This record gives sequence, C-alpha cells and structure tokens, in this order.
Amino acid sequence: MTTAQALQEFLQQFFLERGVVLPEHWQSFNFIAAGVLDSFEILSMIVSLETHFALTIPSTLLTNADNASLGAFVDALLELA
Amino acid sequence: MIVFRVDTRCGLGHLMRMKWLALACSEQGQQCHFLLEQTGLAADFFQNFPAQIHWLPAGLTETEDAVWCLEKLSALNAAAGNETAVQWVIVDGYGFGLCWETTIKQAGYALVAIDDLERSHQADVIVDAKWQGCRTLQRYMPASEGQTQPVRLLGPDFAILAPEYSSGKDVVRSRQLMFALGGGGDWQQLTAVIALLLTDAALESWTLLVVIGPYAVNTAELEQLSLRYPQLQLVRAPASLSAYYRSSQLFVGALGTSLYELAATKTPALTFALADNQQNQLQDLADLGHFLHLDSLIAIPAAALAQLVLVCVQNIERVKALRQSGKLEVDGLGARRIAHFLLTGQLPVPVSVERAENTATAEKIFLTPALSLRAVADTDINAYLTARNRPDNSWRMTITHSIPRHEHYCWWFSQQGSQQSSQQRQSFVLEQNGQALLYVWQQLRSFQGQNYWIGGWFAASDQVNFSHAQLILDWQLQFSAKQQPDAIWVAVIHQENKFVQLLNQRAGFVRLEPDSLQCQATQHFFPQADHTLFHFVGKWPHQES
Repeated sequence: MTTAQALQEFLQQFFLERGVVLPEHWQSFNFIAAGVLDSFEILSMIVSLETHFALTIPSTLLTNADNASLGAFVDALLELA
Repeated sequence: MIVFRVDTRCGLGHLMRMKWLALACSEQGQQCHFLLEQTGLAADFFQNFPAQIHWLPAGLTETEDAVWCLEKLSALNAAAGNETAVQWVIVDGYGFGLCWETTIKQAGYALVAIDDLERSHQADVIVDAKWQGCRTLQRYMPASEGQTQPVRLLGPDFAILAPEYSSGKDVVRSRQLMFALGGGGDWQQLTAVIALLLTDAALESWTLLVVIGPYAVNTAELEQLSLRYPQLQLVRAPASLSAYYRSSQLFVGALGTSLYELAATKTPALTFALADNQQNQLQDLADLGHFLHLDSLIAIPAAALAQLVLVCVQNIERVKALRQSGKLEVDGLGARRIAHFLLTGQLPVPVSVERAENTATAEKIFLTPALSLRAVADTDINAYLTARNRPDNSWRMTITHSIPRHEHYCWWFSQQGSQQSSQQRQSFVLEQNGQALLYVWQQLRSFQGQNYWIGGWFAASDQVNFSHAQLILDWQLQFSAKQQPDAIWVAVIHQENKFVQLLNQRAGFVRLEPDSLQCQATQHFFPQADHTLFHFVGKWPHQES
C-alpha cells in the first residue's frame, strides 16, 4: 500500500544502498540539487517506485523543481496512488 | 579640416571605408586630407577622391610615423592660417597603436580611432561597427575609473559603406554567382572550386562573376578559365560592388567589409574568414541575417566546397529566406552619422533596433509552463550543429567525430526539409524560457513493406537532465503514434549509455532478436551502428510502456 511512511522507508533504503544517509529532516532534502544521484540513478529510482508501488509517474513530475525536495516528492507520489 | 591617417599595408578595406567617411565629411563642407604610405594603387583610383593625398616616406617606424604626421598637421594648420584648423585626426589601421595615438593626443589634437579588434586606444572617439550581440555596447570601456570616457560609436549604425548602399533599391537577381576576396586575397584555392562549378551541368545557364581586387594574387588560372568558359566573367577592381551584390543570387567569398555590404543589399551569402578580424560568432552573424559561414577554407577539398555552393544554389529560396530573417537592419548611413557627430557634437539616435526573435512567431507546444517545443527552422542550422558536436553527445552516436560545418550545411539542406513531413526528417527543439535544451528528431522509413520510426535526441545545454529526456521521449512516442500508428519504433543505443537504455526500456522498447527482420531494418537505417557497441531495440505499435 502506498503510504507516506512506506514511501519514506523505500526512499531511505534506496538512498542508503547508494551510500546516502538521509538527514533527520529528510522532507526538505533536495536530492536533485544535492547531486547525490546521477541521471541513471534517478531514473532507476522512478522505475523502482513504479514497480514497487504500481504507480505511473508522469514525466512532468520532476520537471517541477518544487518536487525535488523529498517531502514534496512523496506528496506528489501520494497524489498518484 | 579633417585629417585621415590610413594603413594601406594590409588590404584596401581601411582605405575604402575612410574614403566614404571623407566623402560624408566633405559633403558637409569639410576639407579632408589623407596621409598615406605609397599604396601601389593605380593613379585612377584616386581620381575624384574626396580628399587631398599626402604621401609618407617609406619604411617609417610607428614613432617616426607619428612624428611625421605631427609635422604634416602643423603644416596644414599653418597653410590654413589657423593653429586649430585641423578639427579631427582620424586613424584607421592596425599599424597604429597606443604610442602613435598618444603622440598625436599629447600635441593637442582631437583623435578618432577606427577599430574592429577591440584594441586599447587613447582616442576621444572610438568607432567600431562590429556587431557582437549584447557585448557590442560594452566594449572599449575605460580600463580605470579615473580615465576619460571616450565617445563610443559602436555597432552596425556606424558601418561605413559607400553611399550607394544606403538606397534600398529592390532588384531582380539574375542567375549569377558572385565570388570575391576583398581588395587582396589568394585565388588559388577558390579557382579550383570555380573550375569545378564551370563544368557542372546544373550551372550551365549561370554566370560566375569573379571580382578580383587590386592586391589579388594567383589569378592567372582564372584568366585562362575565362577564355575557355564564356559564363565566367572577371571584373577587376571595380569602383563599387553594390550593383554586383544586388544582381547576384549568391555571394561566395571572404567575410570582411562584405559583411555589412551583404546585409545592406540583403544578398544571400556563403562566406569564410581569411583574417583575424573576419572571425565572428555565428550568432552575431545570424543577427545580421548571415547564417552560412565557414571559419576557414583550409582542409576543405575543392570538390566539397563546390558541392556546398551547388547545394546553396539548389536551395536558393531557403538561403534567401535566411538572409531576410536577420534581426538587425544595416541602412548604409553609418558614414553620415559619424560625420554628423564629428561636425555637430550631436550623438545619433540608435536605429538598429533588434527585431523580435525569429522564433517568437513559431508555433510552440508547451509541455510544461517553462518547457516548450517547436519545429526546427533553417535559422537553427548552426545551433543544431553546435549541439550535435558537443563531446557529451557525439560519443553516444554512430558517427562519433565532429561534423565539419560545410558537410553539415550540405546535409541540412538535403535532409532537413523546409516543410516538415513524416517522410522527411522532422526535428524539434525543446526550449526552457527560450533557450535550447535539446534537439529531438524522427523520421518515418520503410523496409520490406513495413513502416518504421527512427529517431533520437541530443543535448544543446548542460542544463539538460533526466526529466527533460524522459519528457521528450514520452512526447515523441505519442506524437509519432498519432501520425503513423502502425509503424514500429527502432533505435540503436550505445551500450555504455545505461541511462538511455533504462529510459527506453521503461517506455516499452525491447532488445531486437539478432536474426529478426526488425534488426535487419535497424541495421539498414543505421549502417554505421556496430552490434558490439550498440544495442538494437524496438517498440511495437500499441505497446504500452
């Protein structure tokens, strides 16, 4: 089930596997600006989220710079669920 | 009285433009004098010259030159019976540096420096007609705060052209190609090109007009060709090129003073640089409606250049349209503006106002509020190649070397249709706030009775990220499906390009079986794609991602 907590846990694990420990206030963490993931890894994250949560994430979602912070990103994903 | 010191040691460009400035000054009642070294020019060049000529002794150093000029200026003042009869000294030439200018200034003369290389000056007025985009008006600023600010007359408003360029007469252009290298130039390489064009059936009914400057070298073979081919006409050192520009379909030659003459007469042109002051940013040239420019002729085989000229002729209406698309107007009134300022002190009102962006009227598809897509136009011809040749693009392609501009121009006019249809290559540019982000293309092809879409994209900016790539691929698949829903998409993706592999996989592309018809088709469409370097992938119609 797609919940904020499930998404948070998924993302924490995804970033951890790539050597990135999310900060305590993870919601404001801008994962695009931080440059911790390259294009391939970001796309891998999208594909993994789609597969794991049965979502279809539109290509416009991350062209909106506001969705680059994890909190807004999770909110946007919840709207898709 | 106005005194001109003009360098004639590196071509005639400086002398000609100062002649037209002197004419504009003399029309306003000023007596003009030219201080020149011996030019080797025929005496009739100076007939009806709008100034009195004073010859310098040969072999002077820059310092000696300045001293000699000071003595001449004193003599002219004395002859006029007025110590301040010389109102302005105008200097034009790369041989006169700060030392020369300082000597003249320290003697109390008001000095005008004409330049196009942004050198340092001690002058009261600096004139530089070169257009350098938004940098144009920021040049020649004082090096330090305390330094006196010169009056700067900059940009195409101050292009000094012969008076006939200020009349905007419409003319019927005949089937004529014009070749010129300015006042000098070595004709050896271009003669080989002209020889090839003379034997091409496509130009049988065309006149090839070659304008030979007084300092030109290696013209003997041209003379011989003109005896064998009546359609080759040689014109030696004409008084004006205006009529030739206006009657030619296409100009081929060196980009120097011709830049503004071509713009004023709206003559379609294919040019190349022969000197440092002819090196221009392509966008600056485009603002003037000039798009087809090669940085150098070196290393371009004559046959390749002849082919490019033929392609331009075959697509002359498109080349003409490019010429008309310039944002800046050159009205040929620069000499009069400068003369008016020198004699009245009144600064002219800027007139070369940029037109609206060429692309502003193009139909745009907004994919998001900030990201829009439009069909590529001929005005994108240079920007498209610049993007294509970015190192971060070319390594992923089946042709990894940089494409030379002359090859690109030939390809563009043959592949990139003026009217976009699915049978031709269709290209689009994704823009963010008007700046190109990436180019995307597609083409409908057929192989053994089956329609296929092929396509690709490449970045035009460092700002491109995965979301743009994802957005454009989604758009492309939807757009192509609407046009030809039954076609199969095929593509080759570099095996190192994991990002695009995953992107296409997510969009529904799968690896093609090596023996499949689709794989054969893909190899046919991308003959340079090697299976050891590229994955061959396809997406069937109606197949969802």
